Amino acid sequence: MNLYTKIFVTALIPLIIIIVISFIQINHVIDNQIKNFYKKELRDKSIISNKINETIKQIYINLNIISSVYEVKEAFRFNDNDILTIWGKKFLDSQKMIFFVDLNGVVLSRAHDEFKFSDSLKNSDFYTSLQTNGVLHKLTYIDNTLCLLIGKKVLQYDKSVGFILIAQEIKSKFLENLEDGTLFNLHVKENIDLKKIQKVEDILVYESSVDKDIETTKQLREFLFFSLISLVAFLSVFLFIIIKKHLKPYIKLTEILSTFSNNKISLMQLRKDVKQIYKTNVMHEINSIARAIQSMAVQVQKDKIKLQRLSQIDQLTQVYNRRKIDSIFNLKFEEAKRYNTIFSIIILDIDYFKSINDNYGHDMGDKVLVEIARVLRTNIRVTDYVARFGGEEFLIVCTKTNAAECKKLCEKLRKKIHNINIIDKLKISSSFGYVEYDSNFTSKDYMFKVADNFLYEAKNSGRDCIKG
Amino acid sequence: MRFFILSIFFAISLFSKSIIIGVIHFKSAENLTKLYSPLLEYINKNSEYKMELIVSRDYKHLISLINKNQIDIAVLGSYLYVKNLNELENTNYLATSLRLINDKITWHYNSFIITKMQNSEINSIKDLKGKRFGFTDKNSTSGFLYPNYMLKEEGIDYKKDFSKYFFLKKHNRVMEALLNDSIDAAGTFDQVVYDTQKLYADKIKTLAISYPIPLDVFISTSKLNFEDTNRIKRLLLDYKAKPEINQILGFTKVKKNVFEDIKSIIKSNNY
Repeated sequence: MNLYTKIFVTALIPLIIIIVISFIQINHVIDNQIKNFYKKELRDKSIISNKINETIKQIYINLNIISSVYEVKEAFRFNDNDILTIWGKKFLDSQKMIFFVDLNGVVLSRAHDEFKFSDSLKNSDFYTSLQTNGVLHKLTYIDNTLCLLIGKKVLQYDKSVGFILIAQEIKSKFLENLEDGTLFNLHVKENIDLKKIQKVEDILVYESSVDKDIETTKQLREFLFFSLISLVAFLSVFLFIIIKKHLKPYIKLTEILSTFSNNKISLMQLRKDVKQIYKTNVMHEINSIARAIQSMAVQVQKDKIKLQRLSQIDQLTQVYNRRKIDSIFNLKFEEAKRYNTIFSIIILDIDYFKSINDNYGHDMGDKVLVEIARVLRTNIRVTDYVARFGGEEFLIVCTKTNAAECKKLCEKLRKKIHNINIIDKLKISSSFGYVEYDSNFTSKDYMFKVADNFLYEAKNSGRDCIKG
Repeated sequence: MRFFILSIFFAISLFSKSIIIGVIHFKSAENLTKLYSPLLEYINKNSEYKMELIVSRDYKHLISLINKNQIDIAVLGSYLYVKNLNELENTNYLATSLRLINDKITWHYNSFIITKMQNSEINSIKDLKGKRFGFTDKNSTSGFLYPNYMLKEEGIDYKKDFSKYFFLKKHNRVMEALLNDSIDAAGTFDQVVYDTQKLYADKIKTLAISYPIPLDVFISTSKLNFEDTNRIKRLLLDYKAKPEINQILGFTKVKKNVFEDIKSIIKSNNY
């Protein structure tokens, strides 16, 4: 899995958790809202019922007040339309009708229609009911208007003097008052059988806006869900692109480092690739990291070269050490063996070196070593290799050199060493043993042994001579 | 200077005599003030009297104020004046007011019994039997007393012979009820009839017109002495106003027999 995929998934998980929690919360809130709508519907029905009861109660209170007024009772007795109208008007509003009817059913006054009176209600069913029961409470049509009609007998000294009727018009304004502040839109049912219905609530059609509200709420839930899903999708893509964009150089760097750690590329290649990264991501924070890696790689390479040199060069004489010359000697031996090429080796030993150390001190000895190494290094071919092989012993590997050529080189070197003048009294000489490669040599050690034997022979022959 | 002005006010108040005039509360206090203000201002201006207006609760209260000598002058409808003559023994008749009725300056008005022109079956008072009738008020001269007298003369007892009768208090309400067909006929006073006829020509049919009914009677109580009574009487009879300024245009003295007619009408109504 890519790094950016891992980071993307890591970032996406909390996002998904938040979204899921949001889904649950939205669902919970919407469900509660819908429940509240149903509760409000029930409450509003109760409110409407209370309003109706309050209206009826108020009508009864008004009836009781008007019917208890002495002036009104007298007005019934004397057919005083004026007094009745005045009292009726005190309790009138735009949705009410108030009738004063005498015992014969003749209207003495209509408070709501001042100059319309004297007609008879004797044949109306509600008048019969009122006369029989003394009270009236029913739904009926008055002048084609559906009304709740409440009536009461008016008594004076326990004797009936007439009736008062208050009609509450069940029209749009009354319905508006009832539905005001509720969820309902009220209508009156069509084709009502008033003989069977006595309660105002029973003739009403409760057209609730709850269903519409619930539908709107559900649509809101769907919208919120869709929005959240869209948001998740958008954020996921956006996040992926951003993460990918930002992590791409890291991935590249990781791949380079991984390839390097698997030894698939060299340190040099690593440097090149890392350089490419910081050059192409100038503004990116990877630039600093890549530069740091680059610096580290450069430092490592420098240190490696230094170490390599330290491992191959003799510290004092600055010529190859024994390990390096062994390796070269081995390579040349194998090369000669495989390709049948020629090469020679020279072993050189400083004569009386111990006496130099004893007589002139180790510092002088070191100087002699350094000077001889310099002479050797400057007088061999570039294709030849010289190394300090042991204390005062040097080994020279001469490429494509036969025994005769090798002897010449030894002679040349012997003379050059003679010319070394560190201090006047000190005469420096060397003994040489050399050998050309022969296919009969089974190993380089054997070849070395042969050369070493010639050196030994030279030493035994009075030193400062060449044997091979 | 201030002392001088105060002295003048003190002298005026010392020499001016306060006259209290009592009226019945048949209109709002504001309207009553408006009605009587020009007359009171006239007396104030033309005499040393300082006129004050008192509005009584009802006519009984006014009679009581008269008998207790709490007022100097009283204004009564002619019917109430005649009806309560026994209680007004110590009073003096001053004058009867003049008003503009049907574009004529007159000391009297008339009560009418009317129906709608469209009621073709009603052409006389006798035709009103079994019909619905509207009065104004039992205490109204032109809205009940005179119509009832005219009905009786034609043999109609309002309690028995009408299918229904109503008391509608005000003359305009009576007319409205008639125009709305809530009643078949009505008793009211001439001004309402004339005004309605001006608005709706040929809509009202007159069935009977009463004897002349004197307008408001001004009387003095025993609180007012002989000299002051004569002085006030003279001032009233000299009073002249234009219709656009005041409804009371002036005063006149009516013959006693006019009040005798009212007496006989009251008697016939068993009051």
